[in-house]
Amino acid sequence: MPPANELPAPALNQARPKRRITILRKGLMVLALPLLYQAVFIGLLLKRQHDLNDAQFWTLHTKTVMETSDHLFLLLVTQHSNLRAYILTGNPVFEDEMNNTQKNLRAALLRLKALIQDNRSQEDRLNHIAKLAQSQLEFQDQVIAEVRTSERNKAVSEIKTLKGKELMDDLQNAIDSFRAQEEKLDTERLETLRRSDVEQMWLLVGGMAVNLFVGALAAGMFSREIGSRILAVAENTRRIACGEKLPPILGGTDEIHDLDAQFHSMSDALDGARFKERVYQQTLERRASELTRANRDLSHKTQEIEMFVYSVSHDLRSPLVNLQGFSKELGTARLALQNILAGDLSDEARDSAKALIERDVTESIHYIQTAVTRLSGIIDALLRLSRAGRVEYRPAQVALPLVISRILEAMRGTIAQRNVEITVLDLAPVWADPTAVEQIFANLIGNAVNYLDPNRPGKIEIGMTERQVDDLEHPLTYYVKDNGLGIADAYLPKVFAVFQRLHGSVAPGEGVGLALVRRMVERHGGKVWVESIEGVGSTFLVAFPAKAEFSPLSAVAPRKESVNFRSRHLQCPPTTP
Amino acid sequence: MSTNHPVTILLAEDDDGHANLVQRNLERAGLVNGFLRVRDGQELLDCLSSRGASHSMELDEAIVILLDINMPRIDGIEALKQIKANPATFRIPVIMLTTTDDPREIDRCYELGCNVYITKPVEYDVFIDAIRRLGLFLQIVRRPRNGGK
Repeated sequence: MPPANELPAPALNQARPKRRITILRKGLMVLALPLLYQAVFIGLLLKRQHDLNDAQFWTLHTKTVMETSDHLFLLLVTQHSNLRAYILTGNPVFEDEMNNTQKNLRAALLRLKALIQDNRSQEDRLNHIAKLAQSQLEFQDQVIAEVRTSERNKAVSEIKTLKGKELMDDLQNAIDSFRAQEEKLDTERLETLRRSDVEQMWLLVGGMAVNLFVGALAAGMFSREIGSRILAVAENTRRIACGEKLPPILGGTDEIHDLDAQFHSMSDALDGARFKERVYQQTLERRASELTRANRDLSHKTQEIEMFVYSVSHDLRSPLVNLQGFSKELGTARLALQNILAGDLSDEARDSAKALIERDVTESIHYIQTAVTRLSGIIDALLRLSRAGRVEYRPAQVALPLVISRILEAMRGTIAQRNVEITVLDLAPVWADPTAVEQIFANLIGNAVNYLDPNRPGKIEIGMTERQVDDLEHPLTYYVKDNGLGIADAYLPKVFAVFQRLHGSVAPGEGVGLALVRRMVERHGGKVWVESIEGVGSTFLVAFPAKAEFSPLSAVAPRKESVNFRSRHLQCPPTTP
Repeated sequence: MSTNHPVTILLAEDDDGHANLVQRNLERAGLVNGFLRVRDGQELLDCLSSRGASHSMELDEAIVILLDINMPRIDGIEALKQIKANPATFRIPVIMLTTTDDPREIDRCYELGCNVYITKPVEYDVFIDAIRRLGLFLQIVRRPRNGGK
């Protein structure tokens, strides 16, 4: 699992209040982008609509202005013709008519002025028109006044001066110019409108394209921010199912990150469970192998016991055969003697009886005594062997050089007699029962001395070796090496078995010495074995556990298990009321 | 009869008393000549291998081996194995005469080629009887001679 320092953000997320970017927020962001664009687009469209309306308004406005100016011109013409008619006829009807027209004329001028007040150049033109109209009206008022005062000729001459006509022409020109300007404005506005139409079309097309692009962008963002992350989480669940290693927790602060973090902690829990399972498995396997070993040892021991019983029965039976046999021989000899004594005791008979007593009887008694001694020896040996298995050991740090020197001192007589050269090298102290250690080395040295080759001077060496020993780590291995008779290969496996005697005639004994040694060494958790070449010599090796805590004799605390089999559902002890 | 067809008995036995008893009772059964005793398997094998060279035993003599099992150095089983594996000695009849009555041991000896297996009984009468019958048996044993003469 990735340690927290690789990804500090998720671990510290809860501690540090940070603005979370949730899926909702991401969704809103993804939606907001096209929405924002669409709002801008709609705004643009609205503005366009507004511009269009504006243009239409202005077209209408221009039309109104032109109509009004036409109307103004018509009124002026009407006024002018009315004036002429009034001069010609002097009819006051025309005067009224003219007054009306004049009123209308002023109204039209005012309306026009109101219409074009936003346009400075047109206003100037209109002012010019108004001034001309004013002059025209003044001229007409003057003419009307002259008609009223019956100075019609003066009025006619006034007309004849063509002042009115000039004024009218000027007015017409001014109005034409005004109209032309207004038309020009209208044309310009139409042109703007047309251009705006094209722009609008491009705007629509472009907007569509941009919309598509933004949509794609939003989809991409959604895929990256949501879809692919969910896929990653799904992949992680698959990894958990397959027991694979998970990649670091997904970044971000959204729910998907939370989900992935949950999956990671789940995976951690699973890993923990798997680890525990593995440990349990290993413990189980270790126990099983221990059990197998114990079983093997047990069957080995059973076999040994069978061998032991077999040997004992044989060895006990052997002297019994002699006891029985020679008792019967004694009986036979007794009968023969009785027969001899029953007859005349001739010299021949006397010699025969003497021979019987000296040969058969003496021999039989000798064998019976030997058999009894042997039986007693076997029983003693059995008792010693049994005692070696039962006696309570009191382990201590044993200084071996002291022990060896004590043994050699006790054997001094034999050693001197056999002319043996004994070398004792450096010996490390050992954690063992002192009595047992003394017995072990006494047996081994005794054997070495007893089974020396009489044909060469004896050499015995006692030392240590750094040999590897099965089942023992860094053992303390001592050896007793001799140049004695040696042991044949065929006999090597039986050396430590009880009642087995290789060199039966060389030295007295029951054949339990090495069996005892093995018993004692094994009770110390050690091993004893022999290496030998027949006719060259033997080396007996004894390995003890290196440290006190490895020795089965030490009162070490029971081994602690590496796994705590703690129950998850501990029940509280009942509380005392 | 026995003098005409002498049979040499080779007894391998480490227990002096047993050897003595066997010899005495064989003599009582009428087997008087040709008795040789060795103390273990090694001595027996040495004796057999030196038989050709030495004149202590006539080559023409018939030999029967009485073999104890529990002996020092080379035990009876190993000796039997070697005797039966050697072409020069495998024809010699071998009678196991031992205190061991373990059926597995008996089977093993027959497998290795022993001819008869006799248990030394503790009851002396039975033992004497067994030896006596063995003596009678040995008296009629005739080892076929080479060339059929």
